[in-house]
Amino acid sequence: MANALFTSYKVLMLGSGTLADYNDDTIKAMFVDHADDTPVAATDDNIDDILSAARVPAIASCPTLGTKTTTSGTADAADSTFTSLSGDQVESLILFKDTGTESTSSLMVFFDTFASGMPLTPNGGNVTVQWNASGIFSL
Amino acid sequence: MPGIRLHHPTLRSCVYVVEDYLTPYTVPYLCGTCKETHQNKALHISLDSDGYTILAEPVYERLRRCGMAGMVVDNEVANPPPTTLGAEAAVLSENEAASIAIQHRTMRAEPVYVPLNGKAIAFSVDDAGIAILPRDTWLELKDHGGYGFDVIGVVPPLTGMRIKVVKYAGRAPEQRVTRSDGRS
Repeated sequence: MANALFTSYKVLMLGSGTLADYNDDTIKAMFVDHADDTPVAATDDNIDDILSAARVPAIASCPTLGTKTTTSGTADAADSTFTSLSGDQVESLILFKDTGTESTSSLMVFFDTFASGMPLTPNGGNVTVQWNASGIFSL
Repeated sequence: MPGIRLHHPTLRSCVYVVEDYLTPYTVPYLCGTCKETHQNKALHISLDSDGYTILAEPVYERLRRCGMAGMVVDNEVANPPPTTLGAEAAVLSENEAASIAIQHRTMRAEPVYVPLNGKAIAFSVDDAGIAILPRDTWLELKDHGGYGFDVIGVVPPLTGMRIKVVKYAGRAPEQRVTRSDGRS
């Protein structure tokens, strides 16, 4: 159990390939059902590496991060709300850049360790992810 | 049907864990709520002080496949209450990732060399055929068929190491070696 940056995202930050720009790109949050697929931070690079069945919800219904900041190398954003979330129980959360094409939508951050509430069993209502007061991730 | 309210006749104010033995996790799941490893999909159902919970339809369907585990359907809920999830800041050190304990079906006390897409994984199994690999290394190995290894558990990340310092005032105590035939 450990939260981590996807290795592929680190490579993008170092300048190889098309940059995933945290500030300007569309960054979305998605839950993952580990009974169908477990994200691999070391080798998964784009959202097409996460099986469709494991995605909760589908990409189109994933919330986009708003009010993003990168002060002092720490990525932060307003809390993210999944509206009327339905689906199987989920075990982790990922952030990814949504380009509209799965094979170019870069995976960025993987969370399976939470202060509370994980695994999450949806009840059909809204789910708000309250990002940590010290930010989402730091470089 | 956004939510379905269910009731347990006896359990109150607890997290009711119902394991679906027909749905194994793709990788054993070290659960943050139970602090233990689940091999199979384990539904975590929070019951309130009256034994009620509200589940989304896909979760209810899974519970139904599990025989309902003593839960009884009460009614549909048009507007289920919101849930809040408290995220921790991302931990970036990969050294803190949990490791996976694996066991080979036949190999014992020997080095293992697995060529994977041009880069090799090299490690050793002990005399019981057991090795502990970083989680991501195991996932890579598993993606290539597992090479005869099965997962036998998850090793939590080290949170600290205690070193015991033993000081001898004089000569260190003699070490006695006992042979297998019983003679010293």
